[in-house]
Amino acid sequence: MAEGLRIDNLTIAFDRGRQEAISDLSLQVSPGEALGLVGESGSGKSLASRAALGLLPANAKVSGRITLGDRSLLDLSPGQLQAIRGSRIAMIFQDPMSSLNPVVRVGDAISQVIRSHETVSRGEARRRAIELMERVGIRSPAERATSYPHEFSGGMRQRIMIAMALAARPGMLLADEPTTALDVIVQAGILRLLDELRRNEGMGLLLVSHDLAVVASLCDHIAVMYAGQIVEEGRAGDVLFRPRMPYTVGLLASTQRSKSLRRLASIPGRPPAPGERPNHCRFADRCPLVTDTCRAGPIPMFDVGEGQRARCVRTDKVPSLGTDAFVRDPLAVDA
Amino acid sequence: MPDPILQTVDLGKTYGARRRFWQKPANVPPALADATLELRQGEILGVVGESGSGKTTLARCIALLERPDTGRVLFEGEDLTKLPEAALRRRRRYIQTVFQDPYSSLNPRQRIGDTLAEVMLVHGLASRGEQRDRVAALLEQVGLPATAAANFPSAFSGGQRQRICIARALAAEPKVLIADEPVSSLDVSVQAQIVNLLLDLKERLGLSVIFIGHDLQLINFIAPRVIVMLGGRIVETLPEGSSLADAKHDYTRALLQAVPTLEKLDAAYRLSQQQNMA
Repeated sequence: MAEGLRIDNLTIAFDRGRQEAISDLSLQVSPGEALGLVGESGSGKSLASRAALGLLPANAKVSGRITLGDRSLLDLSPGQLQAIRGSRIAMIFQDPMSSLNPVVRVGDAISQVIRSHETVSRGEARRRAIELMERVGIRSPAERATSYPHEFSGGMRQRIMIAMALAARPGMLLADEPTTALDVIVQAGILRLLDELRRNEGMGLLLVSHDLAVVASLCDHIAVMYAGQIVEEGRAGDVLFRPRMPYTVGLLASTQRSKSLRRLASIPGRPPAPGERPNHCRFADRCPLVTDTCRAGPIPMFDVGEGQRARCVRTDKVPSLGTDAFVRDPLAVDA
Repeated sequence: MPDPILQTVDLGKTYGARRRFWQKPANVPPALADATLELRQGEILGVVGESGSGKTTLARCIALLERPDTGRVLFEGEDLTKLPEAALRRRRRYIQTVFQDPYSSLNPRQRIGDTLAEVMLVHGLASRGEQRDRVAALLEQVGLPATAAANFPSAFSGGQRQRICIARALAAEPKVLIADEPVSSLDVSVQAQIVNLLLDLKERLGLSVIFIGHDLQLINFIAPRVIVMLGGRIVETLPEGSSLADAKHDYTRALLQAVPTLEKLDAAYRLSQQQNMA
C-alpha cells in the first residue's frame, strides 16, 4: 500500500544553527505522483531527500515535520526507521559504483534486501531477485545474478541499484540524480524504467536533479530550489514554460542552444553559501529585475495561479523577461 | 579554406592487449580505431559520443598523453608520434588539455599561482620576475581576480576550478586546446559560463579547439563541425552549416532522440494547453 510523503516547514542547520542549509521547506508527493526537485549544487536538494530517510549527519539540527502516511519520520527511533527504509520508502543514489558492495554478487545483494525485510527461503529470495533483475531490464538475469558489480556497465549497475531499491516493494522512491553519471542513451532507458514503475505500481517518486529537461520528462510537478529555499513550484509545464521567478528563467535560458545567439545565456555570479545568505530575496544580487522591495525583508511564496507559486515580488514582470536578460560578457562574471 | 593545424591519420589504440610477448594477445576490442580527422586553424571541432566511444582516448592520443599503437598525429605537418621523448616534450606546450573533473585535476596542496607559474617554468616561458604579472594576466583572462593566485584549490567552486584549469592550459601558450568534457561535471548555469569563456578565448587568442562531450545539442551549438564516435570509431562527420536534422547515421539520430530537451517538451505542453482550451 503506497503512502504519500509530506514535508512541512523543514529547516536543517549545521554549525550550531549558524549555517542554514535548508530553510522552511515544504513539499508533498502523493502515491503514483512524480515530483521533481530541481536545483544546483549547494541548493539543499539532496539534503532534503536524505532527511526523509533519516540519513542526515549527526551534527545536523533539524526542525519541521516529515510524514510518510501517518508516521512522523523525524520522531521514529533508529530501529523503527530501519524497518521503514526499503519496505516503505527507498532511495537510489547518483553513483552506482560506490553504492554497491564490490565483493558481493549482485543477485546476492538483492536477495539480502529481500531477506532482511521478509522471512522467505534463500531459494525464494533468489528467485525474486532474478525476477527483479528482469523487470529492471537486465538481459539473461539468471546468469547475470552471479556476476560482481565491476562486471556491469554504469547503466546496468544503476539498474541493479533500482532492483535493490524495489526489492522490498516500497511505495515511495527517492532518486537523487539517478542518471547524472550515465550517458544520454543509458539515461533514456533508466528514465523510462522509473516512469513505468510509478505508473504501473502506483509508486510515488521524488526525483532530485539539476537537469530541468530530465525532471520535466518524468514529473507532473516541479519544485525549484535556490540557496536552501523553494523559489518556485507548480505543474511541470507551467513552471517550465510560464516561469514566474527570474531564477527559473535564468536556469531555463542557460539550457537554450539557439544558434542565433553567439553565446549561451548564463546567470552571472554564484549562489550565496549557507553562512552568507541574506535575510531578503536570496537571488537579489544576481537578478535582472531587482528593486529595493526585494531587499526589504524575507520574500514569501506568492500564488500566481493554478497551483503555481513563486518567491518573487515581481512575478508580473517575469513573463517579459527574455533570454537576453542573461546574455552577458562571460569575463565580467565569477563562476 | 585554412590549412589544418592538426591532423590524425588512422589513429588506433588498444588497451590491455599487449601481454607477455610469448602469450597470444588478448582479444580486446580497440578503444580507438582508424581515427582520421583534421582540425583547421582557428576552428572549433566538436567530438561527441557516449561513454566508452573512444572520445577521451582520442583526446589523449592527440595530446600524446598516450602513445597511439597505430597511425600518426601531424601537428603543423610534423608527425609527433615519431618524435623521441625529448623533442616531443618541447612541442607539448602547443597542444594543451582541459579535463572533465576540475576537482581531481588540480594539486590540492599547491597554490593557484604556483600551479600556473610551474607551467611557465617547465616550458621556459617566463623568467621569475615576469611570472607574477603573467599569472595575474592569466587569471584575469579567465575571469578570476589576481588575488586568487594566493589561494589553494579548496577555496574555489567547481566552475572557478575549471577556470583555473583553463588558465593553466593557457599558461603554456598553446595553439591547440583540447577540452575533454570540460562542463559535464558542472551545474547548468555554470556550464554556460564556462562554454562562453572558451568561445571568447578562442576568438581572442586565435586558438584551435577540439571540444569533446556527450551532449550533442551543446556540441552542435559550440562547434561548426562535429564528429560522432561509437565503439572507438568515427561514424559520422556533420559538416559545417549542416543541421542536426541532417544527421544520417542511426546512432547520431539515437543520440538526438535520447536527450530530453525542453523544446520537445514545449511542443507537447502547447498541444495539451490547446486541448484544454478546446
